[in-house]
Amino acid sequence: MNDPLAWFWTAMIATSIGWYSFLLFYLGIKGGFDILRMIRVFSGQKNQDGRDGPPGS
Amino acid sequence: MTLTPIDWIIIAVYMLGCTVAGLWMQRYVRNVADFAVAGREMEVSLGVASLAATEVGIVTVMYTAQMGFEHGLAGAVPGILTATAMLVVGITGFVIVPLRNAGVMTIPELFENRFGKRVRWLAGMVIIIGGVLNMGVFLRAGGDFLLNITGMDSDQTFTLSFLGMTREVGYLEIIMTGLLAIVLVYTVLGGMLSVLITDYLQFLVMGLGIVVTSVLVVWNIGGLDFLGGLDKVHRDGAAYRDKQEKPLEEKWNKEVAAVRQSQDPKAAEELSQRQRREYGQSLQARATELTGQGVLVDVGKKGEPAKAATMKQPFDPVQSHGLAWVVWQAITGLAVVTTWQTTIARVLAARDAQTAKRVYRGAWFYWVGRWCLPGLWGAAAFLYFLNQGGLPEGLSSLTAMPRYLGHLLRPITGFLGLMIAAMLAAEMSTDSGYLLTWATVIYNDLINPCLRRPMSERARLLTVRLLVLAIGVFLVFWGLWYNPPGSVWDYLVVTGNIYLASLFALLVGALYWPGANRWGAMAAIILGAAGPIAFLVINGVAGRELVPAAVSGLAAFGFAFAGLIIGSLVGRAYGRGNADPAPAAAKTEETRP
Repeated sequence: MNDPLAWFWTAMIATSIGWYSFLLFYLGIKGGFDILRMIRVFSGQKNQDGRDGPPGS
Repeated sequence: MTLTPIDWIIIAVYMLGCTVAGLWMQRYVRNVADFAVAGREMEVSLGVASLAATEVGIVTVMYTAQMGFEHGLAGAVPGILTATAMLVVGITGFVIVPLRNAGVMTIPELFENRFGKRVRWLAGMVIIIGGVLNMGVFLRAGGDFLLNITGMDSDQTFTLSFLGMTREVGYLEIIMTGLLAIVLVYTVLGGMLSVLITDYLQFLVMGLGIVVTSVLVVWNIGGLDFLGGLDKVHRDGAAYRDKQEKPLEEKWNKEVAAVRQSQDPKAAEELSQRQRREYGQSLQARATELTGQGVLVDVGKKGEPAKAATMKQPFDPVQSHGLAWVVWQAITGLAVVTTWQTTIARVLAARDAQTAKRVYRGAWFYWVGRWCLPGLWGAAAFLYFLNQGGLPEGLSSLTAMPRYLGHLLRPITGFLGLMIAAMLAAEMSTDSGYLLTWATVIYNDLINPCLRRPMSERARLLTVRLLVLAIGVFLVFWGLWYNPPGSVWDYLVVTGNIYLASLFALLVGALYWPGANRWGAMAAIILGAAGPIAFLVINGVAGRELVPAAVSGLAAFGFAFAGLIIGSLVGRAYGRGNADPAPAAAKTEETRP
């Protein structure tokens, strides 16, 4: 195959597989920490609400 | 059904884990801001995972594979164009920075500050019509995938007996209704908080399934042989079209024109249908022989004549789709990353504008894989069935890919279960994100501006939850019986264009053109929505694609921008068009940053 576009698509497919594999590990770890941080923030707010009264009051 | 116990265990563990995680988060929901935008506490990595999971559903995999089946690797060009647009927006902050800084919960809320509450309401209405119609094909496409990958036909049924009554029930309808019910439970209770957590889990399962399947497909198709194979079937198919179909169509058109002149249009239409039916029958009779000429016989939709499916130019997008279609996709790609409410929801949930930009810079290449990898599966399915002597009865360009993957993955224990879990993850994350987004828009932009007094926090939360439920119920009925003519992708873009075109023009005008006013805004919304709605009505009545999707889409953007400019200039000339003041109830102070 001498069509440069065929090689362009092949490169896109190969890079996509590599990129998805990398993101799986990278975001798997960092996203997990983001969730823990978010839960800590909401837990703190919930405890604060518990001391101040019911939400929306 | 060809699943092994290990496949079932993988699917069950995933479903259970996801549902429990989604339900767990509902304890932290205190108000509408927590429910709709997760209290704006989302960080970059979670944002990228959530955005990626939401924007890849089974319907995505199905339509991108359908494009690969019909256009080879060139079918993935919308992914390249959208990824480029997302990268540019992530670097420059075009639209998303001022939007996030405005501290609004939805795009129409921004319009109220600039153009008044009527524009906000009308924009909300257009978003809902376009968004919910767009979501209308998700369930059926998802069901098509799940049934075909397990070797079942999409219209397979079983007999249900209850209280002496018996009824034929489709597997597709039952499976997808059950799946939507699970999604509804955790989305109704936990809102964006549940969506973010489940999106994260679904991102992991879906990513693993996509990577493993893509590696297996590459191994199966044999690298360079595959590129040469695509090129050959394209040339063979083009030769068939030029030598056999084009002369035949010219002959038919002359016959139909003669009947139309001598008799009436109804007789001409009947003749046209008979010609296509007879040609379809002859194709079916020669199906195996035609595979040698690069032709697959597509007998997909019930009641429609069989068609000859050939591979269009598999590498060059302009030759394959036409320049107008590619330009339309480029504009749509930019409009999607700046305007599509489910994408923008992640911008609005970000901690600040810089986080939103980083989410875009982190997620942009995901769009390339989102199109290229399923597109590869679709193109591989074309070659696979050509080598197998044709498409089995009932398969079409849409359902060929899942059946091919079923054949590929079944021999390896557990892989079919992993792929099904991955696609369930894709479907659930997309459904939950979309349900939440449209419900938030209905509450925030249609109901809230009409209230004289603000609702209590509890009533607001209940209203949004009921709206999520109502959209889910609507989808079960609309989504499971409606079959769009033409390709699924064109249907999705056209319905998306109902609001993408008008709101993109409006958003750019609101943020960057001081001369834009209420008259221009109204004209942009109405004219931008008119083109795609006319397309849906005309093609729906005709039962086939009379107006090309690219014409409808490009016209929508052209009309929307023309409406914005001309309407604003006319409004200014008459001294009208300034925003009317908003009532106190329409403000959403609790969502300000």
